[in-house]
Amino acid sequence: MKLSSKNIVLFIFALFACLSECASNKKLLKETKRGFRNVIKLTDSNFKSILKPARDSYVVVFLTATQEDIGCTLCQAMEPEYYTLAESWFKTHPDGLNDPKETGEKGLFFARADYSEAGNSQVFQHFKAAQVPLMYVFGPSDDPTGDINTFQQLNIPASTPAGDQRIEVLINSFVHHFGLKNYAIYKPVDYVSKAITASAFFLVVFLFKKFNNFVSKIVKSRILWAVISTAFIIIMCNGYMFNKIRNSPYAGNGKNGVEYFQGGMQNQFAIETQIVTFLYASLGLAVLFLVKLVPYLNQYYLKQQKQYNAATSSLLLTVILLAAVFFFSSALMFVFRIKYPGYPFKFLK
Amino acid sequence: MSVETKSTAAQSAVAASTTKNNGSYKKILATVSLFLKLLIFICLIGAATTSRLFSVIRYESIIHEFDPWFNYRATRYLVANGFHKFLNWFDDRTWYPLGRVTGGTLYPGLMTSSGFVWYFMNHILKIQIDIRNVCVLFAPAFSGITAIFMYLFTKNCYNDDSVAGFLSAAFIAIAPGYISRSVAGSYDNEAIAITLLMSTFYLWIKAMRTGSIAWACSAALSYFYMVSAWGGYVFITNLVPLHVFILLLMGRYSSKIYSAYSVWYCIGTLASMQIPFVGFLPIRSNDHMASLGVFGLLQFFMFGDYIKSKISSANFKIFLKTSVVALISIGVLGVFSLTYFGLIAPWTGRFYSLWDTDYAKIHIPIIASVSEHQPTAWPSFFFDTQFLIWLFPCGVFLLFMELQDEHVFIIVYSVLCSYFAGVMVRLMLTLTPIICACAAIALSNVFKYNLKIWRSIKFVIKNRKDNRKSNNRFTELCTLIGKLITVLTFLGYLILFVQHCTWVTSNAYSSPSVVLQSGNHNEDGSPIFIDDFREAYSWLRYNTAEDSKVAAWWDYGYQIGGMADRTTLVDNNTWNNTHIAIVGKAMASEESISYEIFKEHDVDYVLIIFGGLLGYSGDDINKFLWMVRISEGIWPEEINEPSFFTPDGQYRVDSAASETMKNCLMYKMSYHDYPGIFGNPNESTDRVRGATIEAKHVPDLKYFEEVFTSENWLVRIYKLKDEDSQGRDLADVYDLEHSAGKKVVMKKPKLEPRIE
Repeated sequence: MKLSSKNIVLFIFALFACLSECASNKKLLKETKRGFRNVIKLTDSNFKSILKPARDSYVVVFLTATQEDIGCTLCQAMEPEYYTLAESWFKTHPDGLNDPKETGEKGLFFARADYSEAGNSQVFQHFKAAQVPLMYVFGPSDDPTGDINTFQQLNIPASTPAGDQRIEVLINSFVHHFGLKNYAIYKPVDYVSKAITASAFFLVVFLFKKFNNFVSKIVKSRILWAVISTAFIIIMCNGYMFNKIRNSPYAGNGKNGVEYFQGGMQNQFAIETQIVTFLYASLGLAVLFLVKLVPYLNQYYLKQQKQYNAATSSLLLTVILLAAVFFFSSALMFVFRIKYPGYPFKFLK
Repeated sequence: MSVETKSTAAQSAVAASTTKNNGSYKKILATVSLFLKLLIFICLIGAATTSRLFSVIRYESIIHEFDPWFNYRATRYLVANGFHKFLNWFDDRTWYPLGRVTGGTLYPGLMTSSGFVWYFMNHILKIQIDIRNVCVLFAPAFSGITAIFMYLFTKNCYNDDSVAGFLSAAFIAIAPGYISRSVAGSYDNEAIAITLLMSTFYLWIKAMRTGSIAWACSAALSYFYMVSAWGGYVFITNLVPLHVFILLLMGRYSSKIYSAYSVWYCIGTLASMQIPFVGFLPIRSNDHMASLGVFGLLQFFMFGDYIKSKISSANFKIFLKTSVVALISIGVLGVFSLTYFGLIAPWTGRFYSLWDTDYAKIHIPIIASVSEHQPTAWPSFFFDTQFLIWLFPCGVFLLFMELQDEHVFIIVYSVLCSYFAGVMVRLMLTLTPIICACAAIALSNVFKYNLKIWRSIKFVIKNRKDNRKSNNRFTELCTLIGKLITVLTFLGYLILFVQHCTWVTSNAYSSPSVVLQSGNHNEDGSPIFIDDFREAYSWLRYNTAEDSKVAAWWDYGYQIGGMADRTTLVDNNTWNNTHIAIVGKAMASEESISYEIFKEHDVDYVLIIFGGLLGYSGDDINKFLWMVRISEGIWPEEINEPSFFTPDGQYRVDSAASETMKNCLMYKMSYHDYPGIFGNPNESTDRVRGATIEAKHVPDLKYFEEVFTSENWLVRIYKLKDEDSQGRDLADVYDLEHSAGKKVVMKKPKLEPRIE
């Protein structure tokens, strides 16, 4: 095989280029390994050296602010997603390089700056970041004298549903724009939680086995089921789901202290559910006692041949229960009149 | 009338209890009791029907709201064209230009029932009656029948206690929760569906108790009727299997349950598949899988029962264990793989929104936009059932004390349905019957004990002169007083309940919403009616070409179709989200874009509802955000919800409104010429939103012209201007015409050579 001098020169040049590029990739990889979960952490001191050309890889920079008092909900939502992005990439490409055989040493690295961390305000100044989150990409560049001002902004799919769907969208756009291969979402298996679930499961099974009688007594306890289902019904009939779906506030802040009731049929505070649940439960209980306890009491004394006691005690109990029903139902109507001022019926007040 | 009903119910209970004691009067008393029962039924039906007639008396015999207008239109079509044409009906006057396969996408039960009544009246009894009156009075008539089925249901469910039966029938007859969907003129599927719900449940209980195939068949037939009438039949499809399943869990398998359920399931499912709209859903949709699964499980139980009688108990245990594991794994695998291969349809969106309450909010704005699908706040429960709501849990608890097979049904029904009713306002309707039943059970228990007073009364009266037994007399008197005050106070609550129901029905549930009643009165005290809707629809009917297309938000589609008889783009049958989004986009876009969209869809007129003058809060500006949201779901890059808000996130219509808001078609149409009607030519107040509208903030309409505005400005109709004869842009033409004197340079339209 003949080698012309031209070819040799070219080959040497390529070798040099390769070496220098390798150096840049290696440096990025080193930074990546130093960072948390395969993401390079940008600070005032290192961001210039990391983002400075020349490099043969893409570097995605993510500017965010997860601090609670900044109140950027999107930043907080995207925090785990960005890490998943990086981990998915490094799962299939441990060196961060795309496909060394075909496209050479082109790779992809992830960097991130969280405004809440001290000492990276220069990073944000450099990018003139007026709002967060922002995503930039630094493309490959051969020019070692270039500055760090050549980059492109990436569109953040804010309206896409959070979680896997958004990661999917981002991955697709990366694959499309950077020509990546073998990049798919990867979720690390959380062995700890699985182990906990499994052991808890076995523990429960074991306990069931051990206290077989007790458990079956509980499961078959009619009173328990009765109490649970009636409680469930009462709570459901009091707008519990409304509070749940609408996230209604617990109580209101009125002019004269705490407001317990919100006017209007279509809104309510969470505390209203509790108050009305109490009212319904007391009313239901009073009627239940009236139906069951009064005859029982009567029979109990009659069996002991105490007619006098039977009569007076059942009369007394009846009167007390009826008074309770009367009182609570008028309270209910009173409460309802707050919600619906035009309601014409009332007992007391 | 209902008070009387209830006291007669109590009397009949007394009559029934005394029957046993007085053997000689047995026959007479039985006759009297029968007579009283009949009287009670007549009273009940009377009460149920008359209390629903407020709207007819106050307004006139008119169809209410939105959906009933479609049902009415479909019924008219049925009556005019016959049943077969009705089933094959393709409606090209809605969802233009798509059309709708109406015959295959509706539940025909309601229309065929009223069509049958009409036919029976006109052709067999020869009583001439208009189909409209049949439709208007259909719901009240059926609620009378509901009361009878309610009686049968409660009586059968609760130890043949006829007092509970009568009480529950009286409750359901006047409970506002049911009246809300069945006043005269509310010609909707629910009107008939609740009747069928109760009849199916009654027949199911009967079948389950007797194990008779005849009862099970009738339950299946009733189920078929229900399927033909209302999409909510899925509730039965799931509740009955759940009942059976829980009975099996409790170890109460019996051959009665087996025969009842098997017959009901087979015949019911086969019959339900005859409805075109249902088709193969019962074997493909996951909503119906529970009933199939329980059917299979029952076969297994039957087989196990048979094996058990043949082999030793030790062998049977092994047999049981292996087969349970095998069956469960096969079942789970089967459902998953069938769903995976697409053989089973996924759960429907409405079903999802019941379980995962955030689902609708995120995925299906069109479901979330319907007010019927909102969660229920507690006042609604009280408003709809008054004191029944606190008797309800007490009744459920009492059922737990006895817990027979049929009691389990009521318990399952109440637990399940109270959750559903909490999630969706509209399911209040299915909860109401069971509230009535449980409350009646609780109350009947109160009365049962406390009405056993004959002995005490006799004792107190007879022994008046007997001093030795004064002690006894005192105790009897005490008992008597205790029982009497209990009965009397509860009678008081009953009377209050009747008053509450009447008040609620008259005030809240009897307005047709097509005609509104103004808060003011004429000089002679008669109420002022606001009849803008019908005014506008009849304007459309008499002043526009018969084939003209009207674009409006989907809420008004059925009414335009029913009252104006014009072709609409979208209507309340929200089957095509994209098509609805098109209208939403047109309303939310700039005029030129809207014009283009509307022209593409051959629209001639655009109709909007504007409540600013009247203070009518259900108008299009208030619904506008839904239009934006729904269209944003399809064209996120063109429509952007935040751009309709002020920078600080408020939804405003006055001078602070965002530019996008001011320039969208809906805003322009709503406030076109509005500033200036109160005297001040430059501004006027929007009474719904309490905002001041200034003339300089309302841009001119360039592509549309106003053709009609109703008396109170409630309905405004605009016509799309014809395209310019010289091919110029309409906005340029408008500018040219309105800048007389000023010189305007017109761009000449680019003419492209025609190549054909």
